[in-house]
Amino acid sequence: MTVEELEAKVKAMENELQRLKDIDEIKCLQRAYGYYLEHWMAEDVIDLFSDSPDVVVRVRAGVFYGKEGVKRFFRHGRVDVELKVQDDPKFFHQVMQLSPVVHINPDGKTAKGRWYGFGANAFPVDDRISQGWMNGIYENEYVKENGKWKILKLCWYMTFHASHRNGWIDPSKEVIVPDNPDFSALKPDAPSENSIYPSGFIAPFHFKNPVTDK
Amino acid sequence: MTVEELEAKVKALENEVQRLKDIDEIKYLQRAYGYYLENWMAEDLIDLFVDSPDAALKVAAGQFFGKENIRHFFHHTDKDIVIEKSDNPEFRHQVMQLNGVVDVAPDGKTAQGRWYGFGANAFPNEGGISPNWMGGTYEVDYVKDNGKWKLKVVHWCMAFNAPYGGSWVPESRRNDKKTDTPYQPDSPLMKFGQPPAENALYPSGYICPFHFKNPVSGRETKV
Repeated sequence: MTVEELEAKVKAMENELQRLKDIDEIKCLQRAYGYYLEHWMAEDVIDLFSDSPDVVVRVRAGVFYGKEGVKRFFRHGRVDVELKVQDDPKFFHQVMQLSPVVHINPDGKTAKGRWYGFGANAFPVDDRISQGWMNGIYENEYVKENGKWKILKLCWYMTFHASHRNGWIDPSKEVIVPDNPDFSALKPDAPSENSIYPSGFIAPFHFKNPVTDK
Repeated sequence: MTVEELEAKVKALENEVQRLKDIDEIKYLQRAYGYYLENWMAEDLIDLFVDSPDAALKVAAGQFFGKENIRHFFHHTDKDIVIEKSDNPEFRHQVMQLNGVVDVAPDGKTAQGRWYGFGANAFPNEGGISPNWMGGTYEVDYVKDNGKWKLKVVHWCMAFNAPYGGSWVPESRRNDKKTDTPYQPDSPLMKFGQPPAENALYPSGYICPFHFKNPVSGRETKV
């Protein structure tokens, strides 16, 4: 191989590696957002956003534009009061950032990601607490500014916020179906194993123990 | 470009690829820990820890230092038995290892990770079964030992273990057990461990300390 050919190969590898590093960094960014959200660490959350005027937060409460809008939302409407962490220990806002699909645009400067958000919440209401499961989808855009990835657009499409005991379906619409449905009309080619609790079935492992290789 | 410059570029590429491979291997290690926990595969779990007096497991039941005490914990205090998996099919301890943020130290020999643990549990309880959702945060230290990443310190900050509303265990077998207090210091396990350093359970307000600084501002996150 000539030196020129080697140079071209190294350049191609550098570009591919940069893309993988960018994806990794964006995943860390979005997951940090989730960990901060759990205790409403507003200042840490606000820092994750770009300073660009194109910044958008689209959540159930509404759409917020620009860094000022981001501050207004995460500081509960009080832009000038810093909010390091939610003071009330009864407040719990876990939104796990799951199932990421991240694509870097060919320019290497912008990116998009789709995520699930899911978690357990507890909101103090007067002297009581509302508890629930929250679920939804994020479609986000990211921008690389001064060598660091930041959130440009955060769009949260919440699909349900359900009471812990009652589920996310309107109780008047709910019907309980037996958990042993009849699939014979599908004419399966072979019966499947019974993996349903408490069968004790363990899905076979394709991997050996990562430490012992047993 | 000279051959020397090319060599330097290739070396830099190799280092970066090694870091990404390390992150991948650590994520795999931590996720294997979760899959083994589901059926309490004690031998596989114990094997994931480094054989060092610095190994530690900090969970709701208490703190266990060194591989022997970790072995006591996963063997339910009886270290000389072998538990390939839980014998009771009514036992289920799913703790999905989610939302991993892994940082490898510049020397490439140690690393830290923050994860969510979340899943559906069913614990046999006094003749019945207690179905629960469990959730919390892990902060984990890893060490590369003989070329393999291993668990060094596993710190589990359980935020809740909540009885399930409409249950997936038969109602006739149902016997809810609410785990909303830390384990008692006089439990038999405490012969081998120390009580938990903190009460992470809701609504203690405890926040599992962050190993990473704010990814954008670089500021320490004080909790």
